[in-house]
Amino acid sequence: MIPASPGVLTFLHWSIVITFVYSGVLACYAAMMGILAVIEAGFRRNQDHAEDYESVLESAHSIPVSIIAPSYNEELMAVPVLKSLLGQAYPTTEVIAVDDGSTDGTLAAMIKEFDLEPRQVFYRASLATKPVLMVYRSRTDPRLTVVSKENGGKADALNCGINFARYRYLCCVDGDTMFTPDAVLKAMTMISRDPARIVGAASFFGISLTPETIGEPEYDGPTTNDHLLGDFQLLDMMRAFVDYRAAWSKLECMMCVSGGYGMWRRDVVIEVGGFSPNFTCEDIEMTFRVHEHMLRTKRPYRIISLPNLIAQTEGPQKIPQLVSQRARWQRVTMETIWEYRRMFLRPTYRTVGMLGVPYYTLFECFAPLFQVASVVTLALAFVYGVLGWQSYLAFLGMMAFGTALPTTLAVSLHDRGYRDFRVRDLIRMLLLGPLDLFLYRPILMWAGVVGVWEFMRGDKRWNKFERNARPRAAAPVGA
Amino acid sequence: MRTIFEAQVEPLLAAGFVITVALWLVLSVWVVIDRVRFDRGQRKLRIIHRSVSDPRLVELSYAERSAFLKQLLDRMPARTIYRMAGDDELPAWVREECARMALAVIGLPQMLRDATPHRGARRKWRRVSALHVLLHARPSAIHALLRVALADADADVASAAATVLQRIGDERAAQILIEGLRTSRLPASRIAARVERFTIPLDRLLRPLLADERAEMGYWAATLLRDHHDEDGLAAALMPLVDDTDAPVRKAALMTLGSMVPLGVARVATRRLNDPAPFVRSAAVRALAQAGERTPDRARRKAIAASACPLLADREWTVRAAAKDALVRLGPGVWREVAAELSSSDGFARNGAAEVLQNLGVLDWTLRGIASGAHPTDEAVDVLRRALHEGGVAMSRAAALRSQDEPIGGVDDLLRTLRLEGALS
Repeated sequence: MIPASPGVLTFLHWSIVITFVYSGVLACYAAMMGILAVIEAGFRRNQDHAEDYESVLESAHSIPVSIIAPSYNEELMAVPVLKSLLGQAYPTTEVIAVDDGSTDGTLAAMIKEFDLEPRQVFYRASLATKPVLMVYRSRTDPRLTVVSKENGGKADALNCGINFARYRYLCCVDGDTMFTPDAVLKAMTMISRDPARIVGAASFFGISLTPETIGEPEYDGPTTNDHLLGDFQLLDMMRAFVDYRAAWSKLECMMCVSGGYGMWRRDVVIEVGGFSPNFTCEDIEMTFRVHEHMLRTKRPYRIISLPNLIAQTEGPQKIPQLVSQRARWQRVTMETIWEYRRMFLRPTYRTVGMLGVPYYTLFECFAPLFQVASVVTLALAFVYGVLGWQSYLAFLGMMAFGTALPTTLAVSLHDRGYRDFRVRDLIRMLLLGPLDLFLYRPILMWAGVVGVWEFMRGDKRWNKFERNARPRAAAPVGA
Repeated sequence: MRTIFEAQVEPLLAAGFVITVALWLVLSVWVVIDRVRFDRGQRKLRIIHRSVSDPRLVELSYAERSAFLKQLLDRMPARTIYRMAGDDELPAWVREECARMALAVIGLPQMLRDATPHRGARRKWRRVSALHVLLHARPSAIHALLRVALADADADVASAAATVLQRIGDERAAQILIEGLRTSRLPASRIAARVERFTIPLDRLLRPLLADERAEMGYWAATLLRDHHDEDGLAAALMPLVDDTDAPVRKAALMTLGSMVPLGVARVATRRLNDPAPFVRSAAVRALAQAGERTPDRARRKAIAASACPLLADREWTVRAAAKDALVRLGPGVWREVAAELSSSDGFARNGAAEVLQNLGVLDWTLRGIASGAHPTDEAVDVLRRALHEGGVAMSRAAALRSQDEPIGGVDDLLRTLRLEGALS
């Protein structure tokens, strides 16, 4: 224990008070979200059981959907992903794969697998994009169009796909995400209950180190990864979708339709000018922009989040890759909050302005700063003897189990609704909950700090992570 | 200050720690126990599923089957039996028996009460379940209850009512659903999806609605008659709707006539190619394509193509896209009519025609002819030249890439020359 001057002691006391207040407010927010998530999950569960999916599946009146799948250097994943999209059980879909100037064998793999032939197609250029190099149509599946274009980033590729899309709803996905056959059906069934108002929809997708297993014949539901980092990411997504986004959806301020899987109404996307290439990522910014636009123009609308696990996307297997990815997420959150700061606590923007934006500002943007300050403060308080070791341990324990509660709740709500993970996977997920604070949060905290630094520097790079090593390395098609 | 701080905070921290650990532990244990119980229940249900799916059971008398099932379901919670009554994967007789058993436990009066208008979320889902169970009991009040449920402001209740009405599948149920197209808060397309799954003919119910003064009823009647045959002058009854004042009605009539009497629709569809509503023009050109596909008369197909071609210059992209699709569906025999649009003063018409010629295979066919020395006609070469010019560099590149499948000597040079010649001519 080091003796401290009265000034240092006062500073530490107040720092601890601020840390406790911040944690307390966060805990209150989390508790409110938890209660809302329980209500919403129960509602969705009942709705899902009572829903007659068969009539939507067989109806000529089901709303057609254009699926847009941009990819950049996805040689390994492009074909399985497109197969999972073409295998959607839904009456009318078209799949527009946009190769965003890949430098590997992505396009060659698609040409070979789907027997593509080049075609000149005169399309409606509603949104400005980088030049299209060639359009391909599949000889084996007329629903598939592949557009090869100059590299311009994901937002640009999505806009290019939108120019080719013919249908009213757009399903914008990632080129490394594998989908269950009912992914479109589940979302569109909910949308078709109120298509005049629902302009956007998200759904829960898991993290896997090898998402292509979803397309294999022996696939028997989701499992954990048997890899700590992969499982912590899976729990992170589950928490985000099953707890928080469900709650935000109930409050009508769902602030992020993820890029991995997002349904958008085409007319609204065109009206707001398409996805913006001026941000690091396109998804959260588009959600904020649609909210801002619809609320400013005072039009009725909804953006919903569904709890169904409809896809698996690849998560980084190594810590530096994860830091790089999460730093990008932190950066885009800050870019978006800064861009839409005018909505902050403005009643005109209803729950979006009064709850959603403040939450993102306080607990997403400033979270890394508060977290670092808390760690330093508590360490100093311990060193200077302001906080006894019992208090220190009690606080750490309370934080560990406190942060595990939303995870446990998410696992519980997901299992009650879908019963798809095995019991041993459930136990693994539940036990990982309290370890999150010690093994996973420090990585996120560091990624947050890196993200803040990158934001300050004006960095806009995507930082695509290298694909994970496969246990059964599939030879790239066309290689 | 240190003492005061610790004295105030330490007990709180300790209590907070104990509470969070306890909460986590209780919730985690509950998750596992709940799941294990669920899995055990599922195993029992699987055994029941297997047992009741035994084909030998069908040979037993009703009383014997019933007794067998009762034995199987002995000690099963009433809630599970309630749910089994609505399980589509079980044979119909099992569902009915489960509904009967659920009714015996809960009682018909209670079930009917559950199916009446609700207040609160819990009552709502009980109402939805009750409607599903009553489907099997079929009390005399079921249609009236479903009519009220279909008109309910809650979309979940209305949706459940629509599902049950479709499963009842009788004429009265169809009538309620058709009326619901107008009165229900549920989107009409969701109700129409149920109506189109009826196995009984509905033309007797739908036909009077063709003359209904409410436009939406005329639209849905015309739409839902699409899978019906032209009997008792049904097509003739639909014909006047092609000129209805309401645009969606005109579109529905065209689409239904297109599938009902594809050959007979051409005349009225041609009339609607200049309709003020773009979606009616699209429907008209699609109906024309249907007519053209079915006719064995080549001259008639060419005439249809000639009337569809001007839509390549339509101001709406949806109509232009529909026209391109329609012309491709008419087949390569209409290439001359399409090629005539290469001389249009409208840019959309010219590049649309080039795209259609490409998709008809006309360009590849001529190109292959030139390269192999088969000497296509001057007219064909001229069309190729002009199409390549209108299609731009991308069209030539696409043609060159397509030709890589069956290598043609000097195709790149040939394409370049032809495109340039097209530009000069």
